[in-house]
Amino acid sequence: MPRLSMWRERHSNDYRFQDRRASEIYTIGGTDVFVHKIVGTYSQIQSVTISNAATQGDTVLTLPNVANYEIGMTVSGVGFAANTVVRQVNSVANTITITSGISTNLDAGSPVSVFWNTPDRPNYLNESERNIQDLLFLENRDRKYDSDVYVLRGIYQVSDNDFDLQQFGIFLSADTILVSFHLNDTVSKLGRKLMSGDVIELPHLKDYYPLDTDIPAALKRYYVVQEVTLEAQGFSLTWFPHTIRAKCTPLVDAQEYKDILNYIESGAFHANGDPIMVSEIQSTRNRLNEINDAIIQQAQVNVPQSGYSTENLYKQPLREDGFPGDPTGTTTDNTNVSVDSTITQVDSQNNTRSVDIPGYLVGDGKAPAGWPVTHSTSFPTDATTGDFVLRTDYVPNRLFRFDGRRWTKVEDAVRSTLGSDPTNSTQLDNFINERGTYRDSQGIEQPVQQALSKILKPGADN
Amino acid sequence: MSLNNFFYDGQVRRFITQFIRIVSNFQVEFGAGRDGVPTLQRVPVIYGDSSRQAATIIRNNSENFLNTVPAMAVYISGLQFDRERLQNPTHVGKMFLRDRQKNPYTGEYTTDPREIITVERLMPRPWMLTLKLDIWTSNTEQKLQLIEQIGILFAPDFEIQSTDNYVDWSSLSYVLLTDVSHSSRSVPIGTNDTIDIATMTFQMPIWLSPPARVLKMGVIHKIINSIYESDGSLSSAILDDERLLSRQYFTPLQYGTILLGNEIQLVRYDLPTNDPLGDQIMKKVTANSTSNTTITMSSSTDIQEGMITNIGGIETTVISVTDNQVTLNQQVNVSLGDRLSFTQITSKIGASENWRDLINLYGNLIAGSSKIKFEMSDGNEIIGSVAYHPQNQNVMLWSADQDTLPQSTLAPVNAIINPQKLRTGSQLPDPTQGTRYLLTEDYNQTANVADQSIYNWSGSSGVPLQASAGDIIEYNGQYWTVPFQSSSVTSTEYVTNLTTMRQYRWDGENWSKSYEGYYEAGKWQLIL
Repeated sequence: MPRLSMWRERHSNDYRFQDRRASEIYTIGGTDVFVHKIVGTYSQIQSVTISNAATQGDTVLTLPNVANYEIGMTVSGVGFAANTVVRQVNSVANTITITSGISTNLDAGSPVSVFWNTPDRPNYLNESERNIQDLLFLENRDRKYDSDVYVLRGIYQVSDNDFDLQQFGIFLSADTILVSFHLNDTVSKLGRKLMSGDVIELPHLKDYYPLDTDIPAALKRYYVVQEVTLEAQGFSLTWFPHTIRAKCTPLVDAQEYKDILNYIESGAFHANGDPIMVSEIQSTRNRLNEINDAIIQQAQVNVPQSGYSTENLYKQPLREDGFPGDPTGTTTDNTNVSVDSTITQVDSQNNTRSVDIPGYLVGDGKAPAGWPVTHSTSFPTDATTGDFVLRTDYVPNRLFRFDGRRWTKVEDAVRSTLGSDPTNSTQLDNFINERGTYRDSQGIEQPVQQALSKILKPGADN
Repeated sequence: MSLNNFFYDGQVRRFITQFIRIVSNFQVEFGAGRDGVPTLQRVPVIYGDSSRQAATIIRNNSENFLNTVPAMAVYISGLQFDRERLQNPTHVGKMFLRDRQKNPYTGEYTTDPREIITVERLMPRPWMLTLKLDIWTSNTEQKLQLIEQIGILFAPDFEIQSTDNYVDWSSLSYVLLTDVSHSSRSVPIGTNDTIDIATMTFQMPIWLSPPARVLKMGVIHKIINSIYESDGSLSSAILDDERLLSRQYFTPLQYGTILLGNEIQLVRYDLPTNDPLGDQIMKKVTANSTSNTTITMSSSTDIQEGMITNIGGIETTVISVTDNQVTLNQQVNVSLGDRLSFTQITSKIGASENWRDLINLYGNLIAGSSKIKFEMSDGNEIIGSVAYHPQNQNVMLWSADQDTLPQSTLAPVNAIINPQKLRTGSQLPDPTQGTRYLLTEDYNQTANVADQSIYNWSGSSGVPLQASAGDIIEYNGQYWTVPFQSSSVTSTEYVTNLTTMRQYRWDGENWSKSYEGYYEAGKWQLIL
C-alpha cells in the first residue's frame, strides 16, 4: 500500500477538486471586482505622416508641423536607416533635413517617427507590461491600461474607515485593503496574475449621494494594486495555493492613471454631447484649481504690480524755481483761471513739472495726475511743453517730458505685473516665461528660450 | 492696556496669500498618452492646514472622491517674534499725502487733488514667519520637474510684498529658502506605501504694523524747533509754553503774508517788504481833472509809488510821480482845491504769488469754511474765513471774525500826520470841533520854532501846541489839545484811522498797526 500523502509534484485531481471548490467560494460569496489591467506604457514617440512624397535618397522631409522638433532627434520608420537624426529644422517651410537619405520612395501620408533617443527612457517597440518607462528612476508614469474591463470575484474584509485630515485634503486612514482573488480564475481571465499597477473598481461601494447633487453619476470606488502575494489562507491540503491576496490602496487622480480616469465615461454628457469622463467629476483637481485661482486673484488685488502705486497720489506741480506750480495744468497763456471754473484736462496741458514721490519701485510710466502719455520709440517733432512720451524702446520703458527745450527724464517704468501675466517684465520672468522667437541666418525661426544643455549642440555633418 | 477698538488687518494672511501666488501656476508635463501628445497639468496650491469641514466639502463628502496629485500645500510651521530686528518701538514715521479726486460719474481719477492727510505710522514689530511648502507628487520625474521650476526662483531669497500701498512701510519682505527635504519617505521604503512629499521650508522676516493714525492736515504747520529745557525733558518743553527757552517757527516754503483790509497776499521769503506805520501825506489838487489817471498836485514831496489814495470812494494806487504830476492806476475825477491823502501801505517788491498753487500743496480750499489765522505781535490771534478772489488769483479774500479783532478803545483819528509837514487850512482841511490827529513827529515849540510858525498848531491860550510823536491831538473848536499823551499811557490802546479805516495799537511805547500788515512765515496759519 502506498503511503498516504496529499502532496503531488503536479496538480492532481485533488488539487483541481479543491481549486474548483475554492473558485465556487469566490463565485458564491465574493463581490464583483472590475479590473483595469495594465498592459504597459505609452510610447513617447510622436508619429506623424509626411506631407509630400519623397523619393529614394532624399534627405528633406516635409511634415505638417516641425515646431517641436529639434536638431539631434532620432527619425525612424520604413525606409530610414538606423541612427538617422534630424540635421536641420526649417519651421518656415515645415521641413526637416535628416542625416541619411531614405532608402525607398515614400508616399505622402507615410508614417515617420521623430523622437529623442534617450537610452534611460527607452522607446519600446513592443507593448508589454514588462517594460519600464524610466530606467533611471525605475517608474512607469504614462501607463497604458487595457481598454477592456475584466470582472473578477474578490473577497475582502470590510472595515470601518476614518478620514485622515492631511495638508492635501482628507484621506482614508485605513486606506489599504487586502482583496483575495481566486488565482486560476484571475489568470484565466487576465492572462496573468494581478500585478502592481492594476486598478480595481469595487462596484458595491458606489456612492450615490455625494454632496454635490449635480454630479451626474454615482461615484465609483477605485483602488490600485500595490502588491500581490499568495494568500496564506488559500493553500489547500495539497500545499498548492488557490488564492492570491492583492494589497490595494485608494486610487488618486495621478498621471499614472490618466488612461483610466480620462477615458471612463461617467454616463453623463456635456452640453455639446461629449461624454463626461470620470476624472472630470470625481477628482479634487478642478476644485483645488478653483481655490488656487481665488487665492491668486486675491493676491493680484493686493499687489497688482511690483513696487508701490503712486498713481492715485497727487503730485504737486512745480515751477522751474522749485515753488509750487500751476495745478490746473493750463497753458502758460492762461494765467487767470476763475475760481469757479471746472478744470478739465481736455484742452489744457500740464506746463509744469511735478514733484517726485520717492519710493522703491514707484515708476509706472504714467504721467502725473493722469496726463496723457504717448507711447513711442522716438520723440515727436511737434511736441509742446508738457507733452509726455513713454519710450518703449528703453528697457525699462522711460517716461520723458518736454519742457519746451528738451526731453527730460521723468521716471523709468520699473513696476511690473507679477505671476504668469504675459506683461511681466521682471528679470526672472524674462528668462522663465520668454515666449519670443528669432529668425536665424537661414531664415529658420528659433525660440529665444532654450535649455542650456541644448544650446549650440553639435549636429552631424552629413 | 485694553483694546477698545477691534483691529485686524490680515497682515500675515496677505503674506501667505502672496507666497501661494509665488508657487502657483506651475505645471508638470505628462508624457504622451492615448492621444499621442504630451500634456501639461497645472499643480494646484492650497493652504495646508485646512479645516476638516472644508476638506470634506472639497471631497464632496464622499469616500470615493479622488485626491489629485501632483499638488502643493502651504502652511505655517512657525511664527516667532524676531527680537533681533526690533527697532525703536516708539518711533512714529509721518507722511503727508494727498490723493487725486475721482470723477463721481466715471470713477476715474481726475487731475484735481483731494485734501492732504497726515499718516502717522508707529514702528512695526518684527516677526519671523516660517512657511512650509509640501509638494506631493506621484513619481520622481514629477517631483524633479517642480523642484527645478521652483528652485530657480530663490537665490536664496525672493522679494515679496503684501500690498502695493505706498504708505505701508511693512509690506516689503523677502522669502528665504532655508531647507529642502526631498522626500518624506525613507529609503528603503519597506512595506508602507505612504504618499511621497517633498518639503521646502521658507522664512519670511515680516513686520506687523499697529494701526496708523490718519489725520486731516488742516494747517500749515508752525514747526517748533530748537527747544531746550533746563530739566532735560523735551516733552515738557514742547507742551509747556512757560518752559520754552527758544522757539523758531518754520512754515513750508517760508511764505509770509500781507493782510490789508480784507485781502491777503503771499510774500515769498526772499522778497523784500515795506511795512510802514501808514501815516498820511496830504496834498492839494491844483487842477481839475476828469476821468484821468494823472492829477496835478500842489507838491509831490513825500508821495511815493505804491501809496494809496481814496478819491470819491475809489481806492487807487500811485504808479509814478513826475514833478507835481501823480499818475494813478485808475481814472479819477478831481477838482481844484481837493485835498488828497496818500498813505504808504505794507507792500512787497517782486512777482505776485498764486494762492492756488500754494493751497494745492496742502489741500482744497473751501470758500467760507477754510480759515486763516494770524498771530499778532502780542501773541493774540485773529481769525477769518477765506475764499479765492474771483478775479485775482494772487489775492485771498479774508472775512474777519469780528469777535477776534481788537476793539478800539480810543475815539478815532482823522489821520496820522507829521505835524511838521502838514498844517490845517493848507494840506489839511480846516479843523472842526473833534478833529483828531495821531502825530508821527514831535511838535514842540523849542524843537524848531521856524516850522512851528509855519504850521501854526495853536494850543490853549494862543501858545503853540506842544505834543510828542505818538500823541493824539484834538481840536476843541478853539485850539488843539492833547487828549492822548503817549508818554503817560502805558496800557494797550486801540484807535482807528478814519482816512484809511485801519486800526492801530498802542503798546505803551509805540504805535503800530493792530492786526494788518506783514506776517512773516510761522506767524500765520491756514486751516483748510
